[in-house]
Amino acid sequence: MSSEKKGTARSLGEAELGRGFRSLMDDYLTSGERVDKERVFSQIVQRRTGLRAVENSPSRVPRWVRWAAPAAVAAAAAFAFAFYGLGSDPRDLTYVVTAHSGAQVDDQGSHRWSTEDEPLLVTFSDKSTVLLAPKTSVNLEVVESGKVRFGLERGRIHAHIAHHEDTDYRFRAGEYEVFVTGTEFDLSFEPSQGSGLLDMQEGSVEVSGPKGRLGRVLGGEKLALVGTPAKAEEPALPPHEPVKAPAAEAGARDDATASGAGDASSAKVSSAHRSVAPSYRSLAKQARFAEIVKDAESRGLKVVLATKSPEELAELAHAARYVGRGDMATRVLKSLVQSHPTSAAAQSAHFFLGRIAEANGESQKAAREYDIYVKSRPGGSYVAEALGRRMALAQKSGDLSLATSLARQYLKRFPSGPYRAAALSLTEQAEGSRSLHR
Amino acid sequence: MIQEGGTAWQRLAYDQYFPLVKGLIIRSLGPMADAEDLIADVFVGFFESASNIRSPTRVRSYVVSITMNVVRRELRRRRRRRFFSLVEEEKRAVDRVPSTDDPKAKVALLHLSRILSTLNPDDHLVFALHVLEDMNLEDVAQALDMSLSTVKRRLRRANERLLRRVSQNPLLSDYVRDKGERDEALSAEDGPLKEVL
Repeated sequence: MSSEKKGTARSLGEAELGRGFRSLMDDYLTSGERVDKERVFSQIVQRRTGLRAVENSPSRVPRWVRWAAPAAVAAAAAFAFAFYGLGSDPRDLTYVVTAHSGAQVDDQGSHRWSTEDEPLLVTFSDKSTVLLAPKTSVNLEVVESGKVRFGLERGRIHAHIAHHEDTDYRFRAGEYEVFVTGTEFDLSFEPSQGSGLLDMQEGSVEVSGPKGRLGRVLGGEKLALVGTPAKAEEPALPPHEPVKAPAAEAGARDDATASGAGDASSAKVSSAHRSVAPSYRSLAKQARFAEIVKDAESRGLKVVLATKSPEELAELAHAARYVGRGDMATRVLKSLVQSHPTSAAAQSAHFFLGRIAEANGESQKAAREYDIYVKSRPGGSYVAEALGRRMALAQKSGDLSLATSLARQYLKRFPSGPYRAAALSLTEQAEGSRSLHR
Repeated sequence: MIQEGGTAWQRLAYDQYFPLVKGLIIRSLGPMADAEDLIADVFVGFFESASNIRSPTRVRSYVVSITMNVVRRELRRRRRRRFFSLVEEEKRAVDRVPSTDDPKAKVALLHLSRILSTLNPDDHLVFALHVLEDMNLEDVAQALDMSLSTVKRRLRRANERLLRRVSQNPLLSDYVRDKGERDEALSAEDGPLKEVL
């Protein structure tokens, strides 16, 4: 089995390899305590206290959440239980704020919270939680029954909002507002840039920007929030730059798309814009989804489908979805699948086709698309979501045997994924019915 | 005790199985393992589902099985990540291995772990459990939910590949052999002493 190699006096055998490897590993294990047993136990206890954010997929949940949340949540849960009890009306929202150490923090009636080096955890009586990362400032107000308004002034938050029909959570970041139902996401904002990022992990939110409604953002998607820098930062602009330049450009764009007319200067600007032809990707990064859709329509969808790269087409499909043009999104995604079947964008397209079909109530079609996606992209970013949704669809259609089998697959692959509870319930149900029949 | 509920059993179970889980994780994933996080993953999973265990004799194998699932998931995650950041990993790896008295041992262990990580995850796990953890083949089969013949096949394949890769590096090959022989001689010397003590 072992082969004689140049430079070795004797060939290495299986037994020698095993013995040597084991000996090295044993030395490593015994040469110092690298694992702090008590720290790990404390982490386990805190994680079991119940913050789902910590239990979600490690790759999806930011590291600062994984480390920061557990310590605070144990105390917060105790406070929440002690002060509000369980089963209270979700509209009677109250909250407690706890530091990393577990100590309760008082805002002295200011409704403002700022963190420096340590995170803070806000726990609401409906079990929603918002974790403020270090160097974050928010103002928070429970306006009236069930209504919560968060203003993210700077920094980053991780929100896990429990779904209740009677509650209404909104998060403002600069000129953008995020309307929440039941979901989990990260939201960051940098006032000097006037911009931020919405990183959805589960569920969906509606987003509105300075020009009105932007559309829905779904689990697994990110949205760059691009806005106007705060006034204090304006001197940072080059002194020769006309202060009104962005507005003039925007006006020129509007003119060009609305009427095609304008004065000489605006026509010049608009022509410059046309010649530059920004990519859909760069427009999407600035959340200019309506412009992407308009551009595709003005060029003619057929031309766009034939000339744009798969990545650009994927951006177009997402933009169409965000502005409520499911028809266009479907057409683009189908074209992606047909014309660029081997591209990553085409394989992900199946997942989004499934989402659109599901939203339209076409469960069988959705199930088919999810199946294709999971098979073609077994390591894809949306596999956990696709598998979870596929399981839910099977359950909804009454095919419990398939749903249970998918639940087992799900638990095996994503033991702490967002559909864990549903999957566990299905497998337990199956176990229960099996033992009943015995 | 588990079936009776409460949480007191959790600390007892943790104390009892912590060395096992730690050993399995580090032996399977090598010195670069983010061991604390993974150990916590195992016990969170175990505490949540332990009520499913029907017999006290099954607890250990249940813990091993959960640990192996966590290890398998981590191996897959690393494979995906390695695809994108191979160069960066290579640069940082040596620094991330805590120092030992013997720098050669540090490098050798790193090399071996890297070679091991190139195996198919299931072959990797079979090798880690049988060779590094010294579990018998029947227990390995049970822990990994495989048939005995599959375990034997995977072990053979793992051994062949590892030997081929290790033998390509004469220095490593010699070091591994000498290390094994040296330790065997030492443990033979220690044997009578241990009995006396």
